[in-house]
Amino acid sequence: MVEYSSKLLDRTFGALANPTRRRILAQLAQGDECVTDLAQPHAMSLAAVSKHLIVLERAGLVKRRRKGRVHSLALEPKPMREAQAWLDRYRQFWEGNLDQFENYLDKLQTKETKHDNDK
Amino acid sequence: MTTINNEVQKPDDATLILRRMLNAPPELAFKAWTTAEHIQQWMRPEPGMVVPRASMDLRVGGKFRIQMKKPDGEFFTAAGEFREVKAPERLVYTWAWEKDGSVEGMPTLITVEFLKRGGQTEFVLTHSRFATVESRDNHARGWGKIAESFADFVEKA
Repeated sequence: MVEYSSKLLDRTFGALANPTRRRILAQLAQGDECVTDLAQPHAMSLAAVSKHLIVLERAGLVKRRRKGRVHSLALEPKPMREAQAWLDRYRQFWEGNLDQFENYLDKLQTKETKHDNDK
Repeated sequence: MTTINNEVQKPDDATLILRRMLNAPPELAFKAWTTAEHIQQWMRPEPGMVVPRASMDLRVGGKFRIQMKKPDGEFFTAAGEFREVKAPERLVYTWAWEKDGSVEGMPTLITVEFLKRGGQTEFVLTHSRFATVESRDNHARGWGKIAESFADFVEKA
């Protein structure tokens, strides 16, 4: 059965609804990076990039590791897996329903045809 | 559960799209999809499930509730509001799960289209994580770009 959506899932999708944050994720998908490297292609200040990173971290999409003064960032796949699971559950839900809907329509059609013939 | 005439699409924007050819005209399909008495007959996401109650106030701003019951007695109630009602070809409504009378989680958005194809109907159901068309479309733009490398990453992880 379809499970209820979690708050984390809502945060995930909220975090993804921004082009800069999606670009950051795309960069991280190529491999771990440090904050300074991430800021470069965006023509943004470190502070601005840091703000986006905090949103991504809160959504659980990114994990930060500190090595002295260097902050290294890595992509965290779990929330995306949950999003995928959401899709899979609804796919099952609707496919089951649509099989029944189709059968039911066939029955209705047969009834109506029969009714028309009886006239 | 899969049937040969069922085509499933899963784009990268957390939107589920299902298409089917229905062997009935759009008018009949629309009526069966939107009338409480009919819904009680066909809605069965899992074998053995029944719909003891359904109510549909089919107009823009009108509400619906569908109570589903599993064989073990557990209830699931789906509820929402109609956003667009264009019989017999198009229907947009929100969809949320209720538990003990209150909504659980964020409502989602469903668009159903019944397109006339000769004597048949092309049925398209779009179910999106997002309760508004705007947020769904905003999200769809751009998300596709990172999907490929991300999918690789997730598979490897």
